[in-house]
Amino acid sequence: MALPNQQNVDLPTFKLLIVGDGGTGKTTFLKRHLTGEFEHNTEPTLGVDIYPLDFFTNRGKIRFECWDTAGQEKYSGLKDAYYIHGQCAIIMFDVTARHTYMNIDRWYRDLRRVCKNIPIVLCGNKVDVPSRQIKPKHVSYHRKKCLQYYEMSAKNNCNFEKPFLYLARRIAGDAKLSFVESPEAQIDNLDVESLQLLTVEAGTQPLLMTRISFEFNTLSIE
Amino acid sequence: MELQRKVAEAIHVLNHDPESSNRVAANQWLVQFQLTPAAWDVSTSLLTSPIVSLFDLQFFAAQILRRKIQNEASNLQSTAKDALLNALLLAAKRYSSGVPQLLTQICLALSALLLHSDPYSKPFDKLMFALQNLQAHDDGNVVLLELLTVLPEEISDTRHFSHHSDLRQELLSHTSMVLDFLLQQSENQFVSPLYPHDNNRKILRCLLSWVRAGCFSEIPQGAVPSHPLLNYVFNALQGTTFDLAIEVLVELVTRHEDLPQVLLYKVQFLRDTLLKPALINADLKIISGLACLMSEIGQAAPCLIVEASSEALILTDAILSCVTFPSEDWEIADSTVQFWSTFATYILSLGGNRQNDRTRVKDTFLPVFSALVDALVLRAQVDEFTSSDESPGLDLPDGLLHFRNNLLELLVDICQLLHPTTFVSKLFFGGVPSSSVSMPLREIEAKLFALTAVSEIILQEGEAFDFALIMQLVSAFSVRPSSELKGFISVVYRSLADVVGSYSRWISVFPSNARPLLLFLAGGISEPICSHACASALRKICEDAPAVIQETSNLDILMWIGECLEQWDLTLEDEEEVITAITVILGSVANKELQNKLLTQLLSSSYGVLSKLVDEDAESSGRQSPATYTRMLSSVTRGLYRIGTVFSHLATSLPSVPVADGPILSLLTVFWPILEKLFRSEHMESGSLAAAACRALSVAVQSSGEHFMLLLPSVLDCLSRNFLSFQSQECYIRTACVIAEEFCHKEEYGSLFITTFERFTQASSLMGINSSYICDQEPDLVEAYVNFASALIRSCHKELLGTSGTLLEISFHKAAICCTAMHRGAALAAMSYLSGFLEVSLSSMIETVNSISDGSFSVVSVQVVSHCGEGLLSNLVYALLGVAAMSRVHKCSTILQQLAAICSLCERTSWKGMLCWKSLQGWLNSAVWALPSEYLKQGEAESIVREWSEALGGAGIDYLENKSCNFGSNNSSGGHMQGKHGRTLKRLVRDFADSHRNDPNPNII
Repeated sequence: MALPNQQNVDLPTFKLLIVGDGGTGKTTFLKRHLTGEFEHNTEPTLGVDIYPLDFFTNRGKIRFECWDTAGQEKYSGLKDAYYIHGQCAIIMFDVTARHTYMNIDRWYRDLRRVCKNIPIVLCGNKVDVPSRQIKPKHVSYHRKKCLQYYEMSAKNNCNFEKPFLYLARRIAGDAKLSFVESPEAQIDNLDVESLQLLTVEAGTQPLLMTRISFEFNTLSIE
Repeated sequence: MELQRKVAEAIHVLNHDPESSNRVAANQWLVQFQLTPAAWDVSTSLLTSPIVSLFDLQFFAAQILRRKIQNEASNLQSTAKDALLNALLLAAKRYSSGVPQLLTQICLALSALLLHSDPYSKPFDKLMFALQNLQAHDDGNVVLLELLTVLPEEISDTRHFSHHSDLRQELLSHTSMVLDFLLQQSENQFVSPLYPHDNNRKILRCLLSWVRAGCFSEIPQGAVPSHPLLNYVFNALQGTTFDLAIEVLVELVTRHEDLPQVLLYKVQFLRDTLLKPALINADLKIISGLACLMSEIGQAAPCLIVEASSEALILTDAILSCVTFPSEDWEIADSTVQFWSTFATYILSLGGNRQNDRTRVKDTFLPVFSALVDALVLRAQVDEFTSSDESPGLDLPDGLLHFRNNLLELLVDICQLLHPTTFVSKLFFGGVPSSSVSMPLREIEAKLFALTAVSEIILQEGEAFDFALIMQLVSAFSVRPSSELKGFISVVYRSLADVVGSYSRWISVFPSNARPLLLFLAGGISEPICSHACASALRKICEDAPAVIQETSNLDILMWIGECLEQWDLTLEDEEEVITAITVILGSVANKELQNKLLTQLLSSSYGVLSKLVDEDAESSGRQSPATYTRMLSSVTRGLYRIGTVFSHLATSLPSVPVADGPILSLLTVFWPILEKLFRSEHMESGSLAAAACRALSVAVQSSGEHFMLLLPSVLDCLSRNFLSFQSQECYIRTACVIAEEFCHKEEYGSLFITTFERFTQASSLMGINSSYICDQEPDLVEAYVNFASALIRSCHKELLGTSGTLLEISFHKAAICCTAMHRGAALAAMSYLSGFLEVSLSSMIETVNSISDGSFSVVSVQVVSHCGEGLLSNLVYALLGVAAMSRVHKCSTILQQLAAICSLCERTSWKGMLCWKSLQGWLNSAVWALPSEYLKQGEAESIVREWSEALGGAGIDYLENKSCNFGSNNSSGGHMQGKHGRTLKRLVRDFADSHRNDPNPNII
């Protein structure tokens, strides 16, 4: 079970990019995992929404910081500028809309141009709709690129956690990692240091200010 | 500089700040920033400034420039473009040895700049000139490689420009230069050993990009196979560039028809040099890549493979060895399925003049496909870890499920090639030299899967084979305690049940098989993972061999299964399968006394829980805990479903028998008194219980037929009273509708239905429907009500209808209001009722005119239409302006024609004083002119009134003429517009709806 919005500075956190054509169900997919009260931004955000999703594993609690990017061109904000430092990704397509499958290569290419060797999951959504156009046997893109493929539907809830489990295993380098229900279960803490070494962040500097205010009317050439 | 600092801060916050509100603010600021003119200078400066910026900042700058070029390049002057080009080239050179992704982003910006140039300025020539200068520098080739890699990719991305086909052609015109450059690079690496090994990957990636763009189509087809770069790619298969080389070759195979032939000659090299060592060393990457490539070669040219050349046989052998390879997952085997399917389908399609070819090819490749079956069934097994797993709820791994799904068609094709009988022999007899040799469970399970996969074709074309092994498994499982049914054992159990279900027609005809089958399926039904397969198989067995199952000992097992349902907690779907199975058998029991006894026994638990609920007094019921009460309601609901299922299937399985002797009547006499108590109890407050009770009653009515008539008065009384008490539960009206459809035509019960109709109509929830908005609040209720009214109007005797004028007028008025509801089901149902009413009215009026009937209903009809016609016409017009207008065109047209017919008929009769042609014209005029002015164009109102009046006049006459012609034969043609003018009317209505499709539909108050 995913618990949202937990504040824990020591929590292993991974930036997860969620991309795909507009209307393929990316946001709905994410929100299924949110339980209880989630403070949604009151202001409309261009290009991306960021949701923290926590999972309990047999090796401790981890957090996916899910960057839910806009799939439609006119809402895409900064587009691939959101991808930097991404540690894993999900590419979503809609099995009832063939063009969303045809566009997977573009999303994959955009991702790889920014994030070289991150694990990626391909998700075919809405498989319970009778009018699906992309049959399971027609899905072969993941094989060419060594991606993992899962099929999703609103009726099959158990598949919703599989992409996260696959990505968690890949990031942790532990094929036996499993999700557990209760935080009281006996756990071995993940080695935060070694996980963070998996991705090298270039040129980060500590930020002194805790809050930043941006005034649009100050935009000018100096 | 201040702006640069702000950008730096915002980027850092967006990427690293833990506070989401800060990130939102930073994101918004940056989105705004990228739209400003200042972003050009800031971004360019960040990339070209001597001061080294942070990687994040440089990366963002390159991305911003690319997007601005894509969206705003038309605003740049040519001098600014040239300056930008130079700046980007400088940046590319500067960072060519840095982080590769940054160079990629800079080259993407360069590509965007080139592609958004004026097409006539020859941007590629300009680029080539600039890059020639770059080549003079040591790192220039790195930039050139990256730029040439992204350029074709960007052209193929149609999201950014509209003239990409022209750009593509211009790009491809430089193919020779590019390929020469790549060849030069590939040769230079041997001359310069200092080049990093990664250079080969860059060359291959660039080549892949151009292959995808179609570069080899620019050179003569015959030259492709002998191109030197092809050798380079082949050599790249050995080493760290294997994966990219595979990708290039796969792309080439799918694009060039000549290439499979050439690559086929290389297959032996691939197998001997790369594949065999990889198989020995368990190098998954190599095996997987080669499986993919060789499958693509074979799939691209099955006609080459069927020639059975030595190379073709090497190819099939090599792919087969990939399938056989025991990897941990199923990806490698799965990647070959498309090839095998294409190949098998190709062979099967050889026919006509090539019949002899087909036979020859089949004979040649029989050993291959025979080995393939063995390999596929072997790979379709679960892994060893899963087969030893005893976890509850265990199921097949995802990868295996996916692989098996893809195998289904292929297995069927192979079965056809080998012949079904041979296929089955291979599965279960070829691999078992003697019965004493044990077979691992996971092998058995995989073979059971394959057997189920091909069941359809075997049942059609094959011969019944020896099911001894299947029955041995069934018997073994049937005596096993259910406590052992866990983990992988459950999976095997399910697969075995699937086989039993698939071949039930053959298996169940043997009497000796019946008992172990029943015990086996009973054991599996109780387990969640097996319940569906076992329940389904049970139904099939009972349907296929009822005579065998009817043996006394088998009946005992069957009844025991029925009694156990209470504790098994199956899904409703699975439970229905089981009840259906038992009912089919009981329905064919010849001994009536035994039949009744067993049916009563089957339903005794359902009756029991029902009786328990209704027999408790209100006081003791209130004292139960809510949890207990909820569980009891759930049990009752489930029991009602069972009763309904039994009634439903008895009706279809029983032969015709005299009324007094049927088991349905026996069940009914037991069932209804209990159900009546339930209906009269306070428990009907529960919506789900009410729905289940009404469903059971509906099924009982439909199954019982004539038997049910004796109960009609009390049933209808219960339904109407309950609806008045729980008016949010429309299931009572639905059930009354089912009953009306069965019995309303019986003259002796007509008044009973009128009374029921009156009670429904006078309910506050229905009387309160005064607008389409309210209708949309309770669309299911409206739909149920007008459906009941439709059944009544269709079947009830006209003399009786003639005495219910007020009631009919109220219902007509309500239905007219609901025509404009947003809810499609409710609106169309309302229109159906209106149309049905008008149809019956016209029939009656014609009879009256011809002095066939007394005319009491005709008078009522005229009164109703004269009172409600104006409102109806107005609502019809509004219905044609709604969001779902097109779906209502047919209904509206039909009703309009019927109204016209009635008015035309009245013109000739004494009814003219109440209703006449001028009435209809007046209504039309009022409806059109009452529309808000913004709905209609200038002068449109006049033209609508004129055209529709003319069409209505003709349509009404057409209708009457058709009715007169068809009257003798009672031919109903209500599904079509009557006559030429009727079709004209429909066209006018459709045009009206279509031309106002986008107008909003205000709610009618």
